[in-house]
Amino acid sequence: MAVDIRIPVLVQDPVAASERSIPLMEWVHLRSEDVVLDGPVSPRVAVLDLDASTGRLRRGARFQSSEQEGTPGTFLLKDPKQLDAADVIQVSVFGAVLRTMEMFEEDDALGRKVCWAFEGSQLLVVPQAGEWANAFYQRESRSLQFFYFRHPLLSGRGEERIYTCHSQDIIAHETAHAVLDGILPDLYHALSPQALALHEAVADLTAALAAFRCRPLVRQVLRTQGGSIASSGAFSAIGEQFGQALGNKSHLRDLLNQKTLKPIDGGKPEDVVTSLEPHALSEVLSGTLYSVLLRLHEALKDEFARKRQARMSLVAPTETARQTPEDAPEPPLAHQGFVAEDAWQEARRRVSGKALAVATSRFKRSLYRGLDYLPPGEVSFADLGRAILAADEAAHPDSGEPRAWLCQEFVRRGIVKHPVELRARTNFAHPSLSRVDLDTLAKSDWAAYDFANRHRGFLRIPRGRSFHIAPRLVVEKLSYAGGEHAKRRVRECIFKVSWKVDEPDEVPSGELPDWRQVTFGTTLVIDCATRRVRVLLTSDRSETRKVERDGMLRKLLDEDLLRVGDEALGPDGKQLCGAIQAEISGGVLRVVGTAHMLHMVEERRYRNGGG
Amino acid sequence: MAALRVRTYSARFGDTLLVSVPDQDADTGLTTVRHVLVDAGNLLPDEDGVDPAFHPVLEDVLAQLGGAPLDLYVLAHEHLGHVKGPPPREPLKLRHAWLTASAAPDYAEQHHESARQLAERRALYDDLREYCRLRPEAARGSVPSLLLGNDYRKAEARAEFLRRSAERAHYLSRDASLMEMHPFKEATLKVWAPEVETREYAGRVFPVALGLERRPGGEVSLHVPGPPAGVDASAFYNLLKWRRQGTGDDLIAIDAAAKNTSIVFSLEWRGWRLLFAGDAGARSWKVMKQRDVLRPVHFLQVGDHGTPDEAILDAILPMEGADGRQRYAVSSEGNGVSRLRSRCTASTPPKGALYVDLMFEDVERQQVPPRLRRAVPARAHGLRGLTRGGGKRRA
Ligand SMILES: [Zn+2]
Repeated sequence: MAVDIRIPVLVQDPVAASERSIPLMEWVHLRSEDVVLDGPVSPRVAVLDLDASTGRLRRGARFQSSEQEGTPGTFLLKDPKQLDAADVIQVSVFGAVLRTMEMFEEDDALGRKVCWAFEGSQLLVVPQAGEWANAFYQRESRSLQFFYFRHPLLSGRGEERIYTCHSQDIIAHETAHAVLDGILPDLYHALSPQALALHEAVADLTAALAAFRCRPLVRQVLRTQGGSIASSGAFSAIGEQFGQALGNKSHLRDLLNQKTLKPIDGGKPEDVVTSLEPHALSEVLSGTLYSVLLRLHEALKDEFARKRQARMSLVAPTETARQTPEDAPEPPLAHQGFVAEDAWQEARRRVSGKALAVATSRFKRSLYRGLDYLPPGEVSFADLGRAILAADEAAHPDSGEPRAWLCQEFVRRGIVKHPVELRARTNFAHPSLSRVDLDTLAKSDWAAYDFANRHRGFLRIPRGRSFHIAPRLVVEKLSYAGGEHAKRRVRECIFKVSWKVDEPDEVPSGELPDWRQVTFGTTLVIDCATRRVRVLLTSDRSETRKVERDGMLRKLLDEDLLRVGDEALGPDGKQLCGAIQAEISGGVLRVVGTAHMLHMVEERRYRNGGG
Repeated sequence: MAALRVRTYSARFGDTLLVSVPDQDADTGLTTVRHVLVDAGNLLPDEDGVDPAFHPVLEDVLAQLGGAPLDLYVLAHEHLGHVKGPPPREPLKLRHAWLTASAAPDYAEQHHESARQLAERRALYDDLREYCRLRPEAARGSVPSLLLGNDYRKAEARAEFLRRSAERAHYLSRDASLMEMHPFKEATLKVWAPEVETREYAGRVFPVALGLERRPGGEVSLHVPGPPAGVDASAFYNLLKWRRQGTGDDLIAIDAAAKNTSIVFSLEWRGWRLLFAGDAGARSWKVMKQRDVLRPVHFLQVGDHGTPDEAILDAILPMEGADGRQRYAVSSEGNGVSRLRSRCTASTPPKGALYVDLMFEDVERQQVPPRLRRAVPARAHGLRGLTRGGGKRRA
């Protein structure tokens, strides 16, 4: 029995909120937790407000359960305007973490509760973890930790304390790392730069999606920007307060970018990303996906200016029906012929809120469902492209225009050479599934192993390799086909198999073995009702990715991050936090915990950036 | 024939070298043998005196000086961590003393950001030491020796002692103008490192939540909270453990930052270039490379973990020497010596020997490789417990 709670959450961060003159706080309803206690503590999220300097645990905010039927429970705050008061920090962080989790869990996205990559059900959240200009998710400690740092006041007199937990995008970003770790646990040890960058990109895109959920912000931006988000950093700029305090730029990263993997006609040289550093590389992927969202928003404004429904090839009517905000206007130019430019733009502006709601929902749905479709092990940007395309098709079989745009953008940004590389066969029958009992396949490990073993070729498992099968997921998601009432629930079984491969290690160091171990895998998605294959995706095993892994290993060596065996241990014999561990067995190198590179900012940056 | 001599004392006695240079004054034509002592900070006494184990080294240095003051003393790196005994009978007289730039009394006024970071590292050091005192089981492995070796208060006392005992103390960083900072007329000295801004060397420090509670009276206690209602106890304590996990990283970072401020300098004499690198670590080498100060040398002295990586060695000890002269390296420990061997003659004082000598002869008139003198066995100095070592032969 879920508890209904209503709690305040900060809007963006204090600096961004005041720059855009929007309220600092927003009250949100949450109903995904079965129990809520003081702290706040719930079965899935526990805020632990540890005082970094004394080691004491600050008293958690007091929960006030619902006093009468139909009213939500809440927390007793001394003064909700006191942003650095412990109770306000505790409650708003709790709200922001849960809100992000719920975004993944909605029935049109993952359609299930997220599960963590660690044992136990609770994600521990430390909102004032200590003095440092950073924030991170750490699987080993099952926690999100948000640090604070001192920053000189503009007046030149004194300092202020900047809390990373005041930034909604930072909270959403770190929460997304935790959720993603549950969905794709192999990425925690991935060596491919693109795999790690993918973690970053999804975390940043989640931060943007969380900002789109914030009504006062959306209203304010659309009002001041003439109904456009194409030139506002309100949603796309990640870590505004943080970035400004570090003094580098107005933000840490921006999804509204023109970054490419290769030089392109008319592109700027500085937009070509050659770095293998995950944060820098992530901007190419997040920029690619974000630009498709922008394009959909613009196209929907054109449509909604004249019609209640957009053309079917863009979005399905059922999609629009679900996402249309209550205050959406009727099409301003319905039944009108040619109109003057002013009137046209005004009409587009008036429907921009509706268009944004529909566009961002579509975007979130396809991105998060795509994550479920990604193969286990190492992955590439192109893998995510294929997974999103398949997921988008499953969810919107009759609205393929945005998919074509996505392909174009992947090509334009140099992620793939040709759209054909993004094509994966979808919705087909396969003899391997004709006699399988899907229920048994989902429940019995033995049946799953037997199935994989008999269909190695189909699942692309190399001959003679042992493999690992993840617990199968049977999930129900919404599908929005054409036609007025074509919204329906579809059950699918997600079957993931992975195997380890030794690849030659061509890093000229002389210190490492000639071989290293990497994980590849296949995800098979089966439509439970039709027993057809929704899609079958296998990790990108191209030579380019392999060369990039060489580069990553060289980078880790150069930066003295990679430590083999006992060298990863500190003077006290415990594992070093700042090292990425490597083990050698049987002449093969295995690297673990590369995700430790995914702190909010790359370490080099804060080291030089002060704060 | 005139020869420059590098006497490397056994690693047991710290990374200490005595360099004796026949230095000719072009104006007078007179040659004076001048002595430079490159010391890791073990020979000079501090408030606790001097380690009796170093007495034989000190006595040998005094014997070489023959009553004259030491021309130049270079405090390469302040590595402490030795038990001290009473001061020696005869103190060392010093003319010039070189200390790293950040040891200057007015450093904090000139370099705010570096000084702020230094102060932060010191506060962290104090916390870690306090924590290990209150929870002795945390002081495992090499933690105690790292704590001892990085005691900044002792290092400050050492610097203070040098200020008082040397005729002149200088605080050096890269490209310092060495005018009047040393007594040489003929040999030329050049400082390669450190940078004056020590923040260049700040390593990865992880915030650690040790649970130290400082009370107004200065009393410190350790506080371990319990899990609140609804939170799994083992997950809670696991979190606390991970929040302390950076302790090891931090000790290493504190140690590396100090070692990287080692004075690295070259000495050129009649076509020979000798490099004394103290305990400079990877980061210091990296900065030297960035600042384009690396040049091929004929002699390299490196400290504990100081053997630089291949790219750096390519710059200072390329596989092929440029002028056909023999090249040498001394390193206090076995660590990394094998990598040096492919490039030059790497030597360490043999077991049981007090020192090993390298002679760099004036070959401008006559082409002769430097002589490697047989190590003098410690027994000759009346030191018990040391066996006669088999010194290296002539190259
Ligand atoms: Zn991140």
